[in-house]
Amino acid sequence: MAAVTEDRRGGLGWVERGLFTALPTLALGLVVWKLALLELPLSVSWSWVPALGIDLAFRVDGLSALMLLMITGVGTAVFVYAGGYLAGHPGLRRLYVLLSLFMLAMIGCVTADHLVVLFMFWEATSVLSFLLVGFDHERTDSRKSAQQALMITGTGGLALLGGFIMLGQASGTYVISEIVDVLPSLAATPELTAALVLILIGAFTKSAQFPFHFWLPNAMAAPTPVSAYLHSATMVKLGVYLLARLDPGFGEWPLWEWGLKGAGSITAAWGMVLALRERDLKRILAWSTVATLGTLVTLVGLRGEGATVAVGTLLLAHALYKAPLFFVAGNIDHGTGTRVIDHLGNLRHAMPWTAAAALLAGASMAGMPLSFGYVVKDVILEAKSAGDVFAFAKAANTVFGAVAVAVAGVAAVRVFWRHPGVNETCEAHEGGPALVAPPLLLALAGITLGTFPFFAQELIAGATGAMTPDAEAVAFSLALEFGPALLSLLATFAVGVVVYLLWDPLHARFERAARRVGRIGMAAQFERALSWIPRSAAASTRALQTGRLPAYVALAAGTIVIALAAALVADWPSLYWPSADGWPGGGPVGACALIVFGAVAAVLQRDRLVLLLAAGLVGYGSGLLFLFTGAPDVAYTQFTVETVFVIVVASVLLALNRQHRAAGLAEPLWRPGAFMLAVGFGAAVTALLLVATAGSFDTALSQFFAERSVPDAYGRNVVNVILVDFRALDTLGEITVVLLSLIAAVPLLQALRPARDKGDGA
Amino acid sequence: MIALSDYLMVGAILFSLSVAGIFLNRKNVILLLMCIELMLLAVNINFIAFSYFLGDTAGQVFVFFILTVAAAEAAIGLAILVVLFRGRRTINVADMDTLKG
Amino acid sequence: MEYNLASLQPALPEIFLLSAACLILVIDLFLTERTRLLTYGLSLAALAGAVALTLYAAGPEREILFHGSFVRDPMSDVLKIGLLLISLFAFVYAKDYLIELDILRGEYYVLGLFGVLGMLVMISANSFLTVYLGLELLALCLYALVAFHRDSGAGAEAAMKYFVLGALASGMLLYGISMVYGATGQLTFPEVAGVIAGGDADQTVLVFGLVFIVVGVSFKFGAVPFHMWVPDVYQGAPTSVTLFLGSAPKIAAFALTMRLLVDGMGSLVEQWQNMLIILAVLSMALGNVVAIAQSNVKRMLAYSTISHVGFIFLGLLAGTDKGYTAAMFYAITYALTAAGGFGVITMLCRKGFDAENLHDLKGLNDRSPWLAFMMLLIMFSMAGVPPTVGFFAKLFVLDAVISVDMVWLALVAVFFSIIGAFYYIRAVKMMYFDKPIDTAPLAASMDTQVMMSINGLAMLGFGLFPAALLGTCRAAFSG
Repeated sequence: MAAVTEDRRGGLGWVERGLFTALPTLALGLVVWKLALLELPLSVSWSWVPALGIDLAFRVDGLSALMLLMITGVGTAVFVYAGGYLAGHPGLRRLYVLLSLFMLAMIGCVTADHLVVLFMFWEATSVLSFLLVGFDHERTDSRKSAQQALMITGTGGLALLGGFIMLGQASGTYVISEIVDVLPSLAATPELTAALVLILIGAFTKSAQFPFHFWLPNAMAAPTPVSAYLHSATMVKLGVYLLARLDPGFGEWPLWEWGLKGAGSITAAWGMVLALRERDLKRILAWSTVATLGTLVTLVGLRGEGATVAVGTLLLAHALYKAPLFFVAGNIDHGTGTRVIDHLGNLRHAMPWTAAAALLAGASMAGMPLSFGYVVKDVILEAKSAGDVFAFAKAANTVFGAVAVAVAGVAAVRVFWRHPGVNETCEAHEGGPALVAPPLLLALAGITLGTFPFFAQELIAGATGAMTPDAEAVAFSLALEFGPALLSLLATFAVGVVVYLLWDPLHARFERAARRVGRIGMAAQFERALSWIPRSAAASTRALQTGRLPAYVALAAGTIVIALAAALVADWPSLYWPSADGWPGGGPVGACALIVFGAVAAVLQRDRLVLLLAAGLVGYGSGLLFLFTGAPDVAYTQFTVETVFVIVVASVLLALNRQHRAAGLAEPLWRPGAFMLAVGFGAAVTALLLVATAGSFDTALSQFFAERSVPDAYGRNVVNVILVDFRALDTLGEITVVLLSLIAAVPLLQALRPARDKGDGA
Repeated sequence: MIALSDYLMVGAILFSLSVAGIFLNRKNVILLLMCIELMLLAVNINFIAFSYFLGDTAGQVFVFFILTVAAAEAAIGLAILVVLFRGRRTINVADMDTLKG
Repeated sequence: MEYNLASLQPALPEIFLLSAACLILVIDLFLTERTRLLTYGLSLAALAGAVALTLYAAGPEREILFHGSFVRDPMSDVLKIGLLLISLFAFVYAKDYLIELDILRGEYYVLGLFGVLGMLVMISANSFLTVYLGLELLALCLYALVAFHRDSGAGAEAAMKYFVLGALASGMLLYGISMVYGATGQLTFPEVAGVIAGGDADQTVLVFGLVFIVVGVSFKFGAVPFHMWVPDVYQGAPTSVTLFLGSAPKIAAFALTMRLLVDGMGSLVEQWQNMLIILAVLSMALGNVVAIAQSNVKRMLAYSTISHVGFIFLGLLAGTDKGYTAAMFYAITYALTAAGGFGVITMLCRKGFDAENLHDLKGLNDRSPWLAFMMLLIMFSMAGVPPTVGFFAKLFVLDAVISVDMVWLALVAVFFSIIGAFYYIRAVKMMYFDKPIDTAPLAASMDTQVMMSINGLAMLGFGLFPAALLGTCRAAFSG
């Protein structure tokens, strides 16, 4: 056995492994040393971003101390275990670096006393867990579950950020210890409610609460040390930690209380059901972790100091039995190559040490007397009966406990003692000391604390004190009691044994039920939503980003029309429209009709000659309009120009027609959408201008021209006067341009002639 | 006789025409360039009218700058047009749709 | 005002850069293919010199030049230094790419320098005329740069689209400016602001002009629904140009908005605030959602830019000094982030191979762990993952928005950031978890590597120590 591990050890030298392992050990030592010496709570703070009042504030109270001990203690075991489990693996160094960073982030999380700082470490754990779960990135499932875990916890993290900012704004400080003091005195504004909901979402995603529970079992694709560390002992507890941290502040809110109780109970129930469904040992453990997290969240939601004691003890106990059980699952995987319980049995001969560890940890999980699990069950029972718990919860508690017993039975008894013969063909073997020592030590710690609960007394008391606003109300003692609670525990245990014995038939039944639920369950919905986003994205980009320039401009123009219309509507009451001097007579209306008819006809024509004539109608219509509105001089000019224009262009077109070079337009230019938009744009701009100029701008400018026409220029035709006198220089310039263009046109016309000659000759 | 609002109307009509011209035209890129010039012309009319009406020469100075920039812009536009034609052998607006999605 | 040379001191960076660009243009004429890199070196020197002169001319007071057309204030100092440094990054990254694609010509850097000059002028503009001239100087250079790869059909198409839509935007902006001029009779911002505040201006004409000005600004920024040019141009332009186009001009666009809307029309804040809210929400929504569907990494970053523009608008629309500070911080750090992101893509390009698909990122960690780590930092910064600087940028903006009681807007922003995280994480996943398609080693010259390292680590550095930059931004508005 040792030889096998010896051979595989090649990726990382002893020294380096030792150095890495020293990290959490040192941290653990430091935590224990400091906790023993110093009075809690400790706090330090450095100014970081003074402009926003963000300080690097840290504070260690009883709750933090409990978490710190778990992080560094289980961390030490995990580091040792990882060295054995992945010995020779080329990525071991990467794993150690990531684990060390992760441990740092966790420590930051549970000691941060500033919301923003807490959030930063929180997100760091999400990102690092992404890299850790995806450690075996060659495998598709591990990549997929890494991404799923990150999507859910990262998303929840951002929701948390939103909640934190709103919470900070509402309470006027971002320092957590101050917020908790301030919160109870604040009124329940909508902002604060929104903040609460967002924080709940953030905590629930992290701690795998319903409806975000499904990522955790999928994350079992991670290597076992990672699962043991992240998914049982530390990271998934962060949500619970945050809720417990804020509970003194939000505790009186019904939304908070019932949110926690509801989500926690559903999670606990659902996690138990799904645990029965699994065949993979690690996934069974994962679902039972989900159920425990649900119980923890429920306990945080329960009022009364007994509940807080229960939170503290369950946090510690769970770390002490679940991590070893994960190690056991890893050892079985390592020794036999499978984790599916159908293929496992009778392993106690091949793996005696692992079996011992499994038995000890399993006893604690099942809540056997003399284990820490028993103390916990006792405390929980007290908490629930002391609190205002409805009868359903009590019954449910028995069932949950029973399933926990059954799961413990599967992990500790079934694979090691039962099913003889199943496992004979496998060459099962025990791993090296690095694989055996960590689970054994952790499980032994659990038993020790179970036998002598007063060792944990001060620790739990500190944590409870931190979670309960009025500290003097908490007076309890952890002791090994065999009171009336024992009876109810015995009942639980009996039901658990029944569940354990009926595991296989129950499994078949739940499998069917769970599959049916699974199709409409959260995981399926999540997948559906994920696939909907890219599809809708693709559809919207196809519709909007067509690559066609006219469409782009049309979209912009449409927006402008809407904006202008909105501006008009917004100012409607205060608008001053230009006064209309009665209705115009028939003449002007007819002229306008002529203009409109000509324009529409021109748009709809294919033949260029008819198109030209239709365009001419517009010109003549304008001339008529000028005539009727009292500007005969302008009208005559318009008529002359229009006639000359039509004749010249028509003769050119006729000449081209003779050469058969003027085929009609390919299609009439009738595009309803574009037409509407063009009309809309013109109308919006015109309307706004009418409004804008009617009010304040006087007509000084036009008066100037009218007054000066006769005296200054001795003319009565205003157009002529403007053209010849006022703008003489400009007009001269324009004539020059026309002449120049004529000069340019002459060679072109000459070039045309031989072509026609050639055409005639052919 | 010719009020400020009349000048502004001319400007607005030219402006609307040029915008409509850009999104109605699917054929020829050169027409787009002309529409852009027309748009700047509309702006110039506005500036001149306001400048005269307000008795403030700053608007006319602005117009000089717009004219200069418009010339430079036209030059760049035509240069891009040449590059486009060299690569594609077409200056059809409807053919400029390879970049999309 | 008495004219003497000393009074020109606040405009020294611009004057120096103009002279330097002209000089480099002339020097470049005498260089051969082999000595072409001298142009590159001189251009970098010119930018560095401009940075030095900006620092030399900087000060807490506000100085006005050229009959009120030009202003130098603390805000312009900060923005100019940020702009010049980011352009420096863009110039360095461009060199290897241009050499690989065999289009290293002196005009590239000269056009780039003139573009930078245009942006400096925009930043220091104190009148509509100056803003317009700076904007056009930048735009004309960018049109030419986008079409720089003459043999690329996509480049020409992108340039034409950019040109038409850019000119349209200028037209809109000018039309709006003409209206504001008509209503107030003034062209310099303080006077315009004075007339508007005095209530003498016709409100309808002002709002009319404001609509067009906001449209013009949104076009230049690339905010939805005036964003259509962004993805097409980002994709079609040579990557080094996309890099330049996608980074520094965001700072200039921020300055443009500040000068036009805040300096010039600050008392109309209620009107333009509503418009910016719509633009910001649309930009964040469309940019983040559509980016997911992209397989072209340049297009993906283009849509990501659009969503970040939404965030910059969020800061601006708060209408408080806090909001302006946040938007400024966001604009500067985003420009730096974008420069790094596109810089990594230019480093993936080799002779005859223009990396632009998301798949080209696959297995980057196996090919170059350092580069992959830099890209990781950049992607995380864009997604807003702490402790990168992007997180703080978002945090400051959200804080500013919430402090003016627009909580729903902050929630919308957070929601779309979550969706946005999806595609950044996908890129990271590809770099770290997927097998490389192309296993050719990545060779980059020393200067590029150094700059890339600085750029990537800056994401982390500004994230861990955001106080200095934030304090600088804050000082720009409190003075």
